[in-house]
Amino acid sequence: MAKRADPRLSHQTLRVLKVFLAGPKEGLAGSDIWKAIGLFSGTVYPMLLRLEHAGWLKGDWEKLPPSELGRPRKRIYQLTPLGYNKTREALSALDIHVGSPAWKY
Amino acid sequence: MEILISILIGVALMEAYAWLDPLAKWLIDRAAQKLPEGSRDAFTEQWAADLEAMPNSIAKIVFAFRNCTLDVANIADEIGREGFEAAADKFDDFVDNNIVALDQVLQEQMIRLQENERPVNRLLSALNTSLEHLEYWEKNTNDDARKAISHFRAVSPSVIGPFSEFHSQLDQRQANFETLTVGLRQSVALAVETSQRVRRRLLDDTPIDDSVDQQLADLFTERVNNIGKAITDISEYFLTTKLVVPQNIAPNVKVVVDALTAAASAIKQGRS
Repeated sequence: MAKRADPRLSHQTLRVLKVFLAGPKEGLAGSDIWKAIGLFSGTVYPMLLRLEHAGWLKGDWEKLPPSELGRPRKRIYQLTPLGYNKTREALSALDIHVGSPAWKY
Repeated sequence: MEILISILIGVALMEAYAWLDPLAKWLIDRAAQKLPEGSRDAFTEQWAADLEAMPNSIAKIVFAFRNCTLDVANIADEIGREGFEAAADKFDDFVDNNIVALDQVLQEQMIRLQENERPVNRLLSALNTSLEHLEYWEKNTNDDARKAISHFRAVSPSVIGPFSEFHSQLDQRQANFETLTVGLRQSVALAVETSQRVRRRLLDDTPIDDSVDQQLADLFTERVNNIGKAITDISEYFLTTKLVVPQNIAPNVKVVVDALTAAASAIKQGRS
């Protein structure tokens, strides 16, 4: 089996990943991400494609049909366990603290 | 008059505003048309959901123009890279899982053919050597021995003939097999070389170019298809050409061995 290469981790990609780490467990839609980091969707969607292809993210369409939702379905992205570990690894290598400090709990 | 103009401008603005949402939708659909066919529907749906999240019609138009129309080239480029990478990954998997195993099977098959050929070679060379030796004795021995030798010479073609035929089939099969195997290995080598070119292309950040990169994609497809053809040729060869093994040859072999034994014994008696 060909091993998937890790995606390029640009500053912007790390920002996207950081949003996932801080975001809700049920995942984020594309619009949540580009709004959160203030990038254009044309920049964010290629990143999401790359991360999904590398197996760091998993994307699923909302289960309910648009007729029931009353709007078009969103594609919801979630970090996979691989993506979670790799993101934490990449961010800690850059000494970027993620999440809340342990003493806050 | 001023009131009338104000009313007209108001009506025109309201009308224009009413057209903004369909215009945004149209811009999205138009941008999606610039994406590869397999991704159009997904992006249209995703962008439509994004559009819904916009607070007003002006924001929708800005979104559709800035994020879809202007950025669609970026997205198409990423999808193109994705397609390239997926094809190269798929090919690597194919080589890892199938070609390596197939090559091993072919090598084993070649060894088996050579093993089959060895005893046939030995038998034929033993019979030919015996004939040569007997020819020498034929001139220097008595009548009984000459008759025995002549009998051996008469019966030996019933074994030498079928085995020579079998031997030449094995030779031919080995030669064809070698050609087909070399063909397969060459096809794989060319496809591997193209796969590496695809990988190198992916390392290059210049945007995917429809005309130039399409040529590379086509070349890759063609070379992968050539592997398929080479495999089909090999399997067809094995399915359609069967070895005709000499049948019911044991009685003939016995007759020839008996004739050889008798000739040897007659020569021995003549000498004593």
